[in-house]
Order: sequence, then C-alpha cells, then structure tokens
Amino acid sequence: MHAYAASYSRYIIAISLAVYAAAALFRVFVRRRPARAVPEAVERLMIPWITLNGYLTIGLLQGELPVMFLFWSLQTVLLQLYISLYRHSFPDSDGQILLHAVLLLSVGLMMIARIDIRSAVKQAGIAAAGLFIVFLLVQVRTRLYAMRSVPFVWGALGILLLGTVLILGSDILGARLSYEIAGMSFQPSEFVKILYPVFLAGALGSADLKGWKILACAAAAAVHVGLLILSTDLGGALIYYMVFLLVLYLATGKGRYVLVGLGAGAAGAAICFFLFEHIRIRVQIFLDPFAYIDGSGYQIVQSLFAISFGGLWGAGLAQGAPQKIPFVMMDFIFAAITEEMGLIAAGCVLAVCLLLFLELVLLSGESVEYYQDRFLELFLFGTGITFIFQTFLTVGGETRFIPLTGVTLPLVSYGGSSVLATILLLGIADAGAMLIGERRRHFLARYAEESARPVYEEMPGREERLRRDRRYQRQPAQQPRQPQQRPARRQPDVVFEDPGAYDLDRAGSDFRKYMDL
Amino acid sequence: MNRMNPSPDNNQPQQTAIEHERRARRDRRIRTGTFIAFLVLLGGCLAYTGWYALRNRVALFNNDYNNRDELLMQRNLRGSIYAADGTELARSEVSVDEGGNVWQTRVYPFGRLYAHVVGYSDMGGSGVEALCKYDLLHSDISFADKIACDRQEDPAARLYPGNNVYTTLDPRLQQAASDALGDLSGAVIITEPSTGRILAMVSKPDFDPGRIEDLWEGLLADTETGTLVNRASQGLYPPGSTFKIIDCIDLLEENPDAVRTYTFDCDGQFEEGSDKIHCFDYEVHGKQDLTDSFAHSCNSSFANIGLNWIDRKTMRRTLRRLMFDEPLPFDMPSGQSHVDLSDDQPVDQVMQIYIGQGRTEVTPLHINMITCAVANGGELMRPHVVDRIEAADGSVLESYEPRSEGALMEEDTAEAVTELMKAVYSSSHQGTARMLEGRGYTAAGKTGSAEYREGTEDFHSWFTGFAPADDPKICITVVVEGQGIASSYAVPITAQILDTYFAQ
Repeated sequence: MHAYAASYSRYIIAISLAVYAAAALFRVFVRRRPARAVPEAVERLMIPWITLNGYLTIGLLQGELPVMFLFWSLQTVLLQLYISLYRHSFPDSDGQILLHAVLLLSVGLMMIARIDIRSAVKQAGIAAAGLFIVFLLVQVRTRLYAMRSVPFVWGALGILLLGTVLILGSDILGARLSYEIAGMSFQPSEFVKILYPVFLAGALGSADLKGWKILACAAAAAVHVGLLILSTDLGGALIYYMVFLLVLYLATGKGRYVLVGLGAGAAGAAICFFLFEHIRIRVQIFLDPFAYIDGSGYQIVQSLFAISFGGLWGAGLAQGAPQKIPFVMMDFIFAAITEEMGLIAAGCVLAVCLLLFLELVLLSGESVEYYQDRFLELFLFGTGITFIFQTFLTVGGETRFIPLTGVTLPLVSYGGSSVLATILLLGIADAGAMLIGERRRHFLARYAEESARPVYEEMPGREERLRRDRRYQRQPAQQPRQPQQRPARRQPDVVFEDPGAYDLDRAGSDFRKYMDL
Repeated sequence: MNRMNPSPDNNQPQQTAIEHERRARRDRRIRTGTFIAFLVLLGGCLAYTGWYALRNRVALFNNDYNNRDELLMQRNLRGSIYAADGTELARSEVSVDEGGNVWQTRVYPFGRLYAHVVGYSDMGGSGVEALCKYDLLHSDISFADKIACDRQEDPAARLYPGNNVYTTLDPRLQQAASDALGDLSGAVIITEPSTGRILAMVSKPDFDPGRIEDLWEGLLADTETGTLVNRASQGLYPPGSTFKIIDCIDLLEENPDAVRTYTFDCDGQFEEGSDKIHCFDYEVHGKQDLTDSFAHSCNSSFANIGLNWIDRKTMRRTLRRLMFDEPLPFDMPSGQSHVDLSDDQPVDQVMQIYIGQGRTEVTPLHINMITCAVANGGELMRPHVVDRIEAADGSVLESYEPRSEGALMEEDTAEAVTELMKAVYSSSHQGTARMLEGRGYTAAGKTGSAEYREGTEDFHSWFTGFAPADDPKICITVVVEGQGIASSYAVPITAQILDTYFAQ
C-alpha cells in the first residue's frame, strides 16, 4: 500500500486526469443530449477517483490517513449530491461548466490539503458557501438577466468598490488589495470581476451602439484599470484591460479599436514601468531571476526548482517540497501541482481550464441564435476571457514565461475572495446557459406546434422531453422529412420552406459552425 | 421572434436577417481567433516550461538554494564514485535507528587523498560529489528492480540504489602526486593532453572529507590557509616564468622566424629608460638565442622580447584566446585568471607582466590547459573528471566523450614551443630542469619561481610540462607555495611523479 502510494499513484492520477480531459474534449464535439451523457458520466466518475488516489497517497505518506479519508469522503458525498441535485433541478444548465469547476476545485483542494489541511477545510467551506449561493442565484436567472439594462450602474459600483480599497485597504507585502469586514479579509477586485463583464456586456451589447457609449465604456474601464494599478494589483489591472479590449472587439468587430487599445496599453505600460519601481523589479526578476535569488527572485526560482524537480510524472503527492515556495497556496499552486503531480497532470489541468473557456465561448456563440440583444454573448465571452487570461497570467508567471503578476489560479489556488468570486461568476454564466437552453426549448415548442403535433399540450416530464429532443436531433440536416422514415407517425400538415433556419437545436449543436474549424 | 422568421413578403426583416447572419459569422471568427490565441499562449507556456524544466533539471537540482536532495535521500541510496580502474572512492552506508528512520553516511575509503577532487557530500558538497549530485541521488534501475526493492523487509534495503559515477582519476598517479607534494602547500594537476581526462588532482593542505561536519566550523574559521579551496582549479598564483610560454606563443605567432633570428646579450639586467629588470640572482646569461633564453629562463631577454618584439595589441588578443579574464571551460568551480596589459600600463609594469610577475594571476588548471594545448598540437581538449554515469545495474546512462575547445594556437607554434620546452630539460642548453635528464624518458616543460611578496626570498615554485616529449601521454602542472625556487621543489616533485608513471 505504502509502495503504491509512494511510487505508482502519480501515474494513476496523471492518467486519470488525462482521461478526464479527453472525455471533456470528446464532449465538446458531442453536444447532443443522448450521446453526451457518456463523456459526462466519465468526467463525473473521474473526479472522486482522482481525489481518492490523491488523498490516500497524502494520508499514507503523511501518516494522517483517517483525516484525509474523512475529508475526501465528505467533499465527495457533498459534491456528488450537489451535482445530482443541480442537474436535476436545472436540466438546461450547461453541465460542463459545473463539472470542470468541480474538478479544478477538487484538484486545488487536494493540493492545499497536502500542504496544510486547515487551509483546505477553510477553502472547502468557502467553496460550499459559493456553490450554495449559486444554487439560489440561478433560480432568479431572469432577474439576473435584467441587470443588462442598467450597465453603468454596475460600472460605477465597480469603481466605487475598487476605490474603497485605496482608502481602507491594508498593506500586505507592499500591495493594497484587501480589507477586513467582520473579521474576514475581503478583496474587492475579485468581486468586481463579476460586475465588470456585466457592465461591459450591458453597455456594449445594446442594439444601438453609439460612439459616445464606447467612449464612456473605455473611460470607465480605464478608471478600473487605473485604480488597480494604484493599489499595485498589476495582474488585476492586466485582466481588466484585456477583458475590455476583447469584449470591445467582439462587440464592434473593428480591429482598429483593438490596435488603438493595444497602443494605449503599451504606452500605459511604458509609463508605469518608469513610474513604479515594483514593476521595474518584476521585469528585472523576469529577465534574470537567479541574479536576485537571495531576495526578490527567491520565489520564482523556487518555483522553477519545484517544476523541474517534478519532471513529467511528478515527484508524487507528499513527496516534493512545494512548501519551500513562499505563498505557494495562493500564487504558486500550479508549480506545486507540477512538482508533485508532474507536467502531464499539470498540462491536463491547463487543458481543463481551456475547455472551460471553450465552453463559455461556445455558449456565447449559441446565445446569438436565441437572443437579439447581445448581452449574453458578450457577457459569456467576457467571463471566459476573465477566467482564461487570469489562468495564463499565473501559469505564465510561475513558469517564467512572462513576468510574475501575482494572481491566483482560479478555483485551484487558496484564497477566499478569489474562489468565491470565481464560483459566483461561473454560476452566473451557467444561469446564462440555462436561459439559452430555455429559449431553445421554447423554439422547439413553437416548431413542434407548427408541425401540428400536440407535444406541449401537457407539460411533459424530463424523460419525455429528452426522448422528444432526441427525435428531432435524429433528423438529417437540411433535408425535408421523408414519410417512410417515420411511418408510425402522422405526416405534418405544415411543411416549412426553410427548415434549416428553424432547426435551432441542431444549429446550436454543430461545433464546426461556431468554431469555423 | 419575427426577425428569426424571415418572410418573403416583407423585405425589411429579410435585410435584417442577412445582416444578422453576417454579424454572426464575424463574431464566430473573433471567438475562434480568441480561443486559438489562448490555446497557443497556454500551450506555448506549457511547452516552454517542459523544455526549460527538463533541459535544466540537473543545474536546477544542483543549485545551492534547492535542497531537494534531502527528499531523495529518503528514497534513494546515494551512488558510489569510482576511479577509472574501478577503485571505490566514495560510497554510502545505511543505518536504521529505533524510530525506523533511515540514515545515510558517506564513507571515503582513501580519506584525505581525494578530499578536493572527489570532495564531500554534506555541507552543500564539493568536487565530483557536488558536480554529480543529481546523478548520484537519482536511481535509474529498472521498474522491476524497484518493485523488488519495495518488497524488502529491511527498511535499509528498501532504498533504491542511486547511479554510480566513474571518474577519469588514476589512483596510482593521485597517490604519487600526493606523496610527492608531501606536507607542502600547493597543488598538482595531471591530465591526458589528447583527451582532456584529468588523471590526478591534488591540493594541499587537505582534510578528511568523511569528517567534514566536525571539521566545518574550524575550516571556515581558518580563513588564512583556505583548506577547503581546491588549489588546483581555484588557487590564483602569479605565474612566474611559466608565463614565458605565453610570451613565446605570441612571439612565434607574430614572428615564426624568431627561433632562428632572435639573439640577446644578457648582462644580468635589462634597462628601459629609468626602469630596470634583472635576471634571477643577477645571473649573467651572456649571448643567447630564443631557445637558450627560454631554457635559462632569462628575465632580461624576455623583458626585451616583451618591449621590442611583441606588439601589445596582438598580445592582448593572444591572452584572450588563451582564456585570460574569462571563465575556464571546466565543469567544477575554477578561478578566473587575470592579466592587465592595457595601453596605459607603465613600462615597468609591462616588463613585470612579460616575466610573469606583477599583478598577473593564474590557476594551475589554466597553466595546465595551455601546456596541454601545446602538447596536443595547439588544440585544447576540455578537461573533465567524470568519465561516465552508470545505473546500479551497470547500464551506462551518460558517457563523456573527449570534447575539443578549439585551437589555442597554430600547430607550427605548438611544435616550436615544444622544442623550446624540451630545451628546458636539456643539460646542453643548461636548462633549468636539466636534473630530469637521463631518467629513461623524454620530457618538455617550463619552470617558474614566482616572487609573491616583494623583496623576500619566498617563492611559489612552478613546473608545467609533459612527457614523453614527442608523444605526450601526460601533462603535469605543479605549484608549491612559498617554499623556494623551482629546481628545489616543483622539479623534483615532477620527477618523482613521472618516475612512478613510467615505472609501470
């Protein structure tokens, strides 16, 4: 048992993570209901399997098997129950967002538990609270959707919240990021990450997008970024800047805006470089971390040691030394994962992050078919950018691919504000997915009505709905229905001239159409 | 809803639908592009990390700030270090305490003999122990062997045996060099010119690497002797007359005819303006050519060469080619030789430089490398101590092939300098090492007595050379600190080592 934990569990974990990533990739191409149940089941099984291996290894090698096993049992039961309940209550939810989020959360918890079990329990509590709030929030999704009508209110609120940090914020290691509310450390920039895409999508997604609106948006975004730079949250500033740029690009489709934005960003970065010493230090460390190994470069060098020590398969959980990296649970969790679980497993975690981003991008595309205003399209896109760009900043920083900015790996890193805000943001995105799903059903219902089939006269049960979905999906694309294909059914009275335009579920399910691949 | 339902009767919604479709296509392109951009960014990040981490894993593992070796000590038994003939130079022994904890102790069967070159493993490590820390601590035995290890009852036997390091060291030469140096402070380095293999490397005073933890405080406190310093590669000494080899290399590159055309009449000293330089012991060497000047080590003659025959600019280029003021191509820590021959140096300083005095500093390893290049027709082979790394089951993991560092001089120059160095051994030329003649082998070399404290009779005594002269097999550099002139110390030590080598 001990030998298994020490030597072989790392292979099982890495391969299981690869299986999860492969299933998730397969699920991207299989978006129809009956077929997609298979990869989803594989994903759902892999999460407790990976963590079981992990916690057993940690428990055996650290000599606290009962504690670890208890922690694993509790979180597995709760998470699996939550997934079941959620999927049952919200059949229109996306499915993948929740599963990916749970996987990232579980891997993060495992790594945090290996370093410090107390922190892991705290993190689990915050995550549970976040998931509970999400469960309540998605119930009022129609009202959440109404948030789009007053975008500048959210922009102003965001600026206000960021402004309070400058006034109330406490200095922690030279950065003013958070303040205390009722004994809890609270980092507003994380929560503004929820308001910010709502604001941008609401303002830029209106049907009549005028010049002044774009300018007002740019000004508000600049104030956000400026406040973050002043509170020395370099990573946050970069994320907000990039989200604005890309959402603006999607909203207007004009490359010259992006070019102007990039130019302004470069100029701003140059000014900041000469204005702020801490930014210059970051760049110097990036260029030659080993020259500053005694001081400011210590953290990044330790991260490189950790990643290099892990190699392809990792040193094995509880067999590396990730705690040598200062602030490993917050800012360097990816290095810790790479050290103990290996580059392959870390690559799989990154792949899941990318797939979660892809899911949000695909949803953003699907919303176009069902919503005439572009709020959801831009919001889901903005959420995706927030998530993936933050991932890129932290992973790139830890591996010395780009200068270090000190942001967390969403859902994986330890940090109350960060994990709560990310769960809420993804929850709201999933609420958007539900709205899209409901619209799709609505369209299907119309289609069914017009096909003169009394399908929705009584509210069908879930099983019945699934069966009917399947029936429509089995239709070959762009072909008029052949009576001999369904001899048992009644011939529809009305035949549409252009069934393709109405076969919306099929349209939404066609990956290539959305990805142009 | 109507906009989704274009009716042929009404033109307006039709237009809107087309526009809608066009915009949807554009948005799709943007989304696809963004996704692919992030895919490339994150993929590139991962690929870069993998490349960087795997490529630099040895260097990063060996870094002083990374103490993950302690982790591996719990799992792997540190491998052994062997001499070229298979003699064990270092091994680890395991003990298990009552708590079931496994402890490894490093054992050095030869005690202080290999103190500097093999080094010690604790306290950060040194020598081969530090250079090959990564290999010694990793175990590349097969998966089946690892499982067999896991099944062992005894916790000591459960450690995976680490990889073994085979060095190029020759125990007989190492012993001979150490014996010859005796209790004197100094260093001996013996290499094979055609491959760069280091056959022996001795530095004195030495210490017992097995007791390094007990000795550590005392050794660190004693900053005067510097016992921990490997004098052979790190010790910086004034080169004395061995620097005349470099003078000759430059002179013969500039003026290949100098061997025949150069003459100088030595009256015991050389004057340039108000600056004076005198021969050792104010000896008058009389009329002599280049070979005699070199064999007698005539200071006046070389001051003359430096000022009147050699161009300072070309000399600077030669010095750069001979690796002065830059790190040596050697994997273990080595000192950086230094010479300052800038244009603003006054004449007296320049004369001092050409006879190897003044502020010039070299390491014995560096002088040995230059001598090796002369012996090897001008081409320098990279000096190395590690021959190969083997897994515990005997499979070779890594093997260090001889590697050329390029030519330090022309082949003709090397041959001419060899002739000059042969004369040092010749009694017909009254060479400074003529006592080595008639021992049954031919040799070539250069002596040096470096004054390191002005006005005293203390000298660093140098010898560097190779044997046999016409087919060099070994190249020896000896430096003895602060005892006296070369012919009394460095030359007899070399003779003793060469006698042992050729006695086989």
